[in-house]
This record gives sequence, structure tokens and C-alpha cells, in this order.
Amino acid sequence: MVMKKILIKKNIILVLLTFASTAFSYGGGSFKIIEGITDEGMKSVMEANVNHLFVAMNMAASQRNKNVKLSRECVTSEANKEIDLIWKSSAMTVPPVNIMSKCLKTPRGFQVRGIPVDMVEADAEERRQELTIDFTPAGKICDIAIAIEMHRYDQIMEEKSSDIDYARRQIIIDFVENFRTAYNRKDIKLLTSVYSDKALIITGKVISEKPNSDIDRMTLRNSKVVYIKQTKQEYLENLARVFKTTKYVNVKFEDVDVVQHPKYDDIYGVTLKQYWHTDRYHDEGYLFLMIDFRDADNPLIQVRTWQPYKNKQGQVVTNKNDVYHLGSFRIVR
Amino acid sequence: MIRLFLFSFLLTLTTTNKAQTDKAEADRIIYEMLISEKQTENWHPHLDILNSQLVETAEEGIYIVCGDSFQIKTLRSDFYVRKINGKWTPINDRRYPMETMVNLMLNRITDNKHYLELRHHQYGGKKPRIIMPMQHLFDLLARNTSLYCSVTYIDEHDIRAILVFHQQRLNFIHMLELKAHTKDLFDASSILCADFYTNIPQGNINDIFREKRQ
Repeated sequence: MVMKKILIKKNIILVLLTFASTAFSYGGGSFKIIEGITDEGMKSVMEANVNHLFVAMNMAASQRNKNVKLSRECVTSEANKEIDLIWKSSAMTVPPVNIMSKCLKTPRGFQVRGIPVDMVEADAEERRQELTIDFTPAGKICDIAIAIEMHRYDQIMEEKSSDIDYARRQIIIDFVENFRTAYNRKDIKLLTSVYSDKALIITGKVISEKPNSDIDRMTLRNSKVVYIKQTKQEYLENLARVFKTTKYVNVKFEDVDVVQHPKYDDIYGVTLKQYWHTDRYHDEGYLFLMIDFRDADNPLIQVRTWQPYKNKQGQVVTNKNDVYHLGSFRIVR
Repeated sequence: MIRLFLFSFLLTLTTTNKAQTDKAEADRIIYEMLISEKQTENWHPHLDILNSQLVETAEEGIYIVCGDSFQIKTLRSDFYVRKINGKWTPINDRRYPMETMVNLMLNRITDNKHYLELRHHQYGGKKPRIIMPMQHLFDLLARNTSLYCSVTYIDEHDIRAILVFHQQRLNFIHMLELKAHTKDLFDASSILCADFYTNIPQGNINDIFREKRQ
């Protein structure tokens, strides 16, 4: 036991001497453990080993060496191999800062995390990385790895693109609910602000023609939907007239579908069933909105189509498959 | 406490009774509640953890308390704990920013002193900014809703997450999109910025992720 203590002390002194003589010239950071271990001797060994590693890495990087020369007293051969492996992809330097770390007890020994290093070969925004260093129960460095969080976070970032899209789709639902509310409130000002000045507005209308035969009468071939194209100004002027001549407007939306454009990520199509009730008139129809999300704070409706669901006799005149959709329109940018 | 509960309950009723209150009115009511100078009562859900809910993570001693998901599999009510002095304690540690963010968003951190700068997206294109204790938001909205969180981005500097408050009975959500510098999660004096969308109906949605059609 006494012999072991003497050996440990001897190693610390050797490492500290090496560190002291080279640390100044290679300007690396210094490392201290601030909590997680009560054995002062062990703490000193681990600190000295990490400081030795810092000096060796900074020296190797500045001299453009192909590997890092490390003392076997400080680092196991397995850890040395890990460092060589990382070094093959890029040299690392330790920034000239005082690093204070917590020490964690692990089943294999000890661990410190979040040690900042700069990857020499990496792009500026990815240069700073964090190391996790594992120690044997005797305090020797036995593993070194780019912090596990970085790998995990890469994975998360890959998975999460759909979540960003989820948030955007909920913002579209919010937009559609505001849009519906604007009709119920007869809020022409809001409706003016959400339609693009160049919006394409198409409204379907059921035309009943005199049946030519009994078969026509039975098969409802006399019902025809014609489409009227309007500008934003024409549509809103007509709507303002409707708002003036009705006591109330009650619009409900059901079966809302949100689809992202296959080519333009900032264009979404919303298809829904609209129930329109006023004191003078009511109808049901399919509404399609093409929403331009380029300015996320101020989405704009580029296309609005309305197609009647049934005719006056209650017969379906538009099937869901026949409703306008994103593919019905060519986008020119 | 009872006063705040009734306040919160009334908020739920008034903001969602479509027969009496539309989205414009509901958004306005929420805004007025948010800017009210009422004292925050620091409400948190009970920390009842069953062993069957615990799942080990790749991190030593860190466990996920499994909850459920909402609409997409990554929007979840799971939160992160570890044992401290024999008690399961939600993670709030700068070594684990993602876990801390999730716990913060799901109102699991009991000494949450953060302030939020909310940009409240209201009917009519209004987007007023409100600076308020983060806990005030939970006190108002979390008692009658289920909370779901997803961290959507993280690197060594920045972190972003979505928080959804789902009102089950009336089936609407409020959604918070929070963006922060990772270091600010551990600085109680920092103000975290978020966009806040309120009273988004879910009952009339057929498919929010309908397949693309050419």
C-alpha cells in the first residue's frame, strides 16, 4: 500500500514536471475537477493526466504531427488508439481557458464531460466540440470520445424536421381559424389583408338546365357546375355587399386537410368542407386555399376555390376527388 | 389557490365556448390574463413516478419517465429524472441541456425562475409582446390541459422546442415555439423568447399530414 502511494506520487510529479515545462509554450487550457470526488490523491492524478493530454494535443497540433505522443503512465493503449483515430480525421487543440469539471462515478471508473476542444479541420461553426474522458479506477485515461450528446443531437436534428413542419401546419390551422372567424365577424379588413393582391378566386355555381329526356331527369344530368373567376377586388366587393345585406354570417369548417406542396416547401394547400349560413341563404361546399407561407408572419392566400357540394335537390354535384388541389395550379416564380 | 383554479377553469370555458366566444374574443381573453399582474402561484403537476414508467437512457443514471404522445410520435409528455438522495428529481443540469429544456417546458422544474418574452399571435394579425414569468403561463394554462413537448433543434449554442397545451374535452391547443441560447437555460436572469399561438381548434381537422398529391 505504501509502495503504491509512493508510485502514484512519483507519477504525479513526473507528469506535473512535463506539463510545467511544455504547457507554457503550447498555450493550452488548464483542467481542474471541482466536485464529484473526495480522494484528493486520485483527483490530482486525474487532473494531471488530463493536463498532460492537453499539452500533448496542442503540441502535436502545432507541430502538425500525425499522432499525439502520450505517456503510458497517463493514458491506456486503448485510449491512445481512440485519440489516434480522432486525429486521423482532424487534429484537436484545447482553447486557453480554465476548465472546471464535475467528476462522475461510472461502472468502469470515472468520467468528466464537456471538455471544450477545437477540431482544426472542421468548418468554423462546427469547430468547437466537447470531449468526454473516461478514467480507470486508478485515474488513468482509458477512453476519449466526442461527447455523446453531439451524436445524439445530430440524430435528433435529423428526426425533427417533421416536427418543425408540424408546428408550421398548426400555424396554418390557426390561420384558417382566423380566416373563418373573419367571415363570421364580417371583418373585410382582415380578409383584405390575407388575400394576395393577385389572388385567383374561383367560385362554382350549380346551373340547372331544362332536362332533354326522362333519362336526364332521372340521372340529374341537368345539373351542371360552372365556374366564375374573380379578382381579389371583385370578390371582396361582392362579399362586402353580402355582409351589408345580411343580419349574420355563420361559417363552419369541417374535414380540414393540410398538404405541403411537393416542390415548394413554403406553399401549402388546405382543403375543407365549408358550411355557410346567413339569415337569407345557406350552402355547403368544398373550399380549397393555396397558402403562401414565404413570409411566415403574414401568410397569404394565393388561390381560393369554392365548389358546391350538392344541388337544390340534395344531389351531390362535387365529389371529394374532384375538388381543386395543389396540383391543379401551376406556380410561376 | 382556489381563486386561481377557478380563474383558470373559467378561462377554459370562456375561451372555447364557440357559441358565445369566437377566436378573436378567446385570443383577447388569454392576452388579458397573460398581462394581468396576478401573483404566480408556482403550480406543478405531482411527481408520481412508477417504476414501470422508467426507461434508461444512454446517459448514466438518467431515466425517462414515459408519458404519451400527441398527434406525432415525437411530441411527447416524457420527462427526465435522476435519483438524488434517494428521490427522483427532474434534470436541471447544464450537462444535459436537452433534458433540462424538456423538463422546463413540461413544467417539471419546481424552481423555474425564467421569464418569457412571448409574441402572442392573435386574431387580426396582432402580435403584442409580453414579458412575464414563465411560471405564470403554466399557472394559467397547464392546470386543465395536457402538455407535450418536442425539442426541434439543438447545437452547442442554440436550442428550440415546441410545447403544446392540449385541452382534451374541447379539443383545441395552444402552441408555444421557444428559441433560446442553450446557456440561457441555466441563467435564471435570462429572458427566453417564444412565439405563442392560442385557441387552435383540432376537432375539425381531418388530416394535418395528408399525403402530397401531384
